[in-house]
Amino acid sequence: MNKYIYWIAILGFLYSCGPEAPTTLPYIGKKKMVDGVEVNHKIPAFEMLNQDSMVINNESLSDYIYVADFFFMSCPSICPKVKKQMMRINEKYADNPKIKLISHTLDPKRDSVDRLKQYATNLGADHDKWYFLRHEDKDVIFELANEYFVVAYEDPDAPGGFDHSGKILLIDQKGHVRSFAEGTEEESVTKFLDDIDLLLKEVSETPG
Amino acid sequence: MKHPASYIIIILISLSSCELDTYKQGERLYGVHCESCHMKDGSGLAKLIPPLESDYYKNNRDQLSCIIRYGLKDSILVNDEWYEQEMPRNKDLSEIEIVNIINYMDNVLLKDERFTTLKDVKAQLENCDN
Ligand code: HEC
Repeated sequence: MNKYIYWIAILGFLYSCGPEAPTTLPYIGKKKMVDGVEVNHKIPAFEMLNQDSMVINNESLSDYIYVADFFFMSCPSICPKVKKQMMRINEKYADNPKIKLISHTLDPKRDSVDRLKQYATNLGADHDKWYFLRHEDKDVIFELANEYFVVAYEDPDAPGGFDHSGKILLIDQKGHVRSFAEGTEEESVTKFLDDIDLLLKEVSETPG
Repeated sequence: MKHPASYIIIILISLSSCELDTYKQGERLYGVHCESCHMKDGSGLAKLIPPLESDYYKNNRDQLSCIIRYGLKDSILVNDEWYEQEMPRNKDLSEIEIVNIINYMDNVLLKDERFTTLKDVKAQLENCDN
């Protein structure tokens, strides 16, 4: 009898500690209690224009998972590096209709819709897949950035006038943040690509 | 030390360590002032930031110091693509630092063995259009 218990313990140990990669992504952010039920952090409703002056909101994204970052066109510091990594993601999923990319500008004053369109074209973005979103009121953008755990604020001493982190985030079709990468670091984004694959798998296996 | 060869060996060792250090400052400065846009390998970003490996770079070699110090405003044609974004100036870089950045780009990034001197940079800076 004792022997069996040992075997079960060993098997259990092997099973739980095996090298198998996790098969689902965590939910990132603080859980909240709503009506006595614990709910995961969710990106709140938003509505903005993209580079083609099309309205993009949560609903237009509800069938997709998406990858998001925050930037501004005249940013001399981290943005070009982050954009290079966004391009990498864009290229890998160019033919996958389930995924969108979203780049929010933090500088609506200088980054007009027209200029964003030119920028997107110069990056080689597919305009139906990669949205460059703008909102008149920069406070709305800064607050939204917060929901993505991206720190962003105006700072006259920062290069270009804004300070922000170069995170790239992965959002599922229900608006939950599921993974993130440091957009300035290639290796971090390499791992992130695996997470995107995991989420795509999860979504394709979830009915509805 | 009795043997003359030991002197030669010591000289060789010190020269080779010098060699390793040659591009250290250039590498660091490039990392701080240029890499965020032109990328670690100098490849740039799509049609927004030009690659350093370019006809423009080769044809404007005698302008490099001016480009680094004063940045670029006008659109430029690089490898058959127009680039329109501005490149910011670097007015705090000393002449020596500019020498080191140029040598780092040429010898390490572009693997084009050539050596720019302080004299070259001074001469370039006297003839900038800015
Ligand atoms: C904020 C981004 C940014 C930074 C930082 C930057 N550059 Fe540039 N660089 C550009 C852009 C944009 C152009 C194209 C300018 C234009 O179209 O007028 C350019 C053009 C150039 C060119 C000529 C075109 C080519 O690629 O051959 C050289 C050489 C160059 N930069 C070197 C440097 C060096 C050296 C540094 C660091 C001291 C540096 N740049 C820092 C954005 C930047």
